[in-house]
Amino acid sequence: MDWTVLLPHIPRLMDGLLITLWVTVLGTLASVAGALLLAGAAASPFGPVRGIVRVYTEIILGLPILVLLYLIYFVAPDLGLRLDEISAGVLTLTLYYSPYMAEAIRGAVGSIPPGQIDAARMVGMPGLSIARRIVAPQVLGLVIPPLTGLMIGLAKDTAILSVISVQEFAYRTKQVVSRTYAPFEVWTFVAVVYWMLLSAFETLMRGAEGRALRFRESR
Amino acid sequence: MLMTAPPPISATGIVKRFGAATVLDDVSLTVARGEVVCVIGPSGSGKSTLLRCLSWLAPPDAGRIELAGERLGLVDGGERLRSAAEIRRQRSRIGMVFQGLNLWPHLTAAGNVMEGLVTVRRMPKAKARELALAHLDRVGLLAKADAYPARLSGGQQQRVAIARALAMEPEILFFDEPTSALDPELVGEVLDVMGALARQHTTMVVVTHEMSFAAEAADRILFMDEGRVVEEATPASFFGNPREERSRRFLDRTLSRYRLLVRSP
Repeated sequence: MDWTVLLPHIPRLMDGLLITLWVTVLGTLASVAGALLLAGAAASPFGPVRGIVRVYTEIILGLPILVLLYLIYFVAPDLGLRLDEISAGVLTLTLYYSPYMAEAIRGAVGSIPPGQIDAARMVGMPGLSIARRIVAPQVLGLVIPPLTGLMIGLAKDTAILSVISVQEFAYRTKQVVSRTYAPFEVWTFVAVVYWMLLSAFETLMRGAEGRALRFRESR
Repeated sequence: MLMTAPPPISATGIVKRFGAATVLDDVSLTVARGEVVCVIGPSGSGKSTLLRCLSWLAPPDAGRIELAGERLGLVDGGERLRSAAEIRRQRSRIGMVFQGLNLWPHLTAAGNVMEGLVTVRRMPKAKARELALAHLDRVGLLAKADAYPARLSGGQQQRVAIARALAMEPEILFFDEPTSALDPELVGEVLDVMGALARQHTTMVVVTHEMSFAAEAADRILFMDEGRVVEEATPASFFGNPREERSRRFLDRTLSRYRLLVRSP
């Protein structure tokens, strides 16, 4: 075992890690935005809008993310949608994760007792104020745990983008392995980096959840 | 010119249907300023729905409601619905205390009382807080002003809810079974606050199963069954000598346990 073989390749790996972080951030932001849109549409008074959301959600739930990625990167160009690898990757993550995140948001909103909304209506608050001042602050704390799980899933799934040659962390790792012939050291190192970052993120989010739901403490 | 002030609330011919079921069937009710009306009756008789109609949370299918002389929900003359903003303004003149514990859990007791003052009445925060503290003091909870609802007992939460309703200085207060979600030992403190409001001649409509409260605090009893007002009387006449057979049966059923306690030597 010789860990020093890693040293000359650290910059190459870090370049990959940066791409991974970049794709994760873009994918997360876009997914959350998409999820808000989907959750809003799912609550629409118009039946057809709700129908579209339901069909879309069903389709995504039944697809492996790898298949979705291939469809977007290899099939969509035939239909006129040509994207570079990173855009195709971010789009895949967004399309794949937003319905799951929308479900998390819907669940949190649905857990607010309707009596609280009635009480707000009775003091004369308009719908927007109710959403902003009564629902949102509570939903924020409630969605953090399921959303954190999904964000971590999304972060890990960025490794799949290596199959369409996005030069992210896992892609660079394979490159480094083929140059060093030291799969043990390289993959172990990469696994530890993934694990540390994701664990740190989870701890951070748990703290955020605790702060957001502090009002619930009964003593 | 001398004019009599219009009653805080006056409703005539209220009908409410849910699908095929008629939950309220031609109910009329006028409450005079300073009057306390207790609405009693078996579960499912339409008592809560009546309050939801009178506050436009569940707009009635027919009938006419006037809030301090102003047509509620609809533009007078036609049957055109008022704008959402108009309805909100009207609704904010009605205070409602619900059956469930409906405080906003992410706001402190004072925050709950201030919310309507700040977001609806556009009151500066400092002034709203001052007012909120005064109303919390009125329900005996000044010391809990900065506590979150999770740290309050059910009875304390309902008292904050009363303060929240009072702070908007409503024309009338509606109580929808405010003690039925509470542990028995917490009922008294809430009824005490309501009794004090009644003695101060706060205009109130109270839907309740607490017969002793109704007997003591009400100026008038409205007995409902199957969506209709069956009997309307003073507490003395209603509890002492109910006119209607259905009232008598209801009282027999609900009061039997008290009678047992009273009669046994």
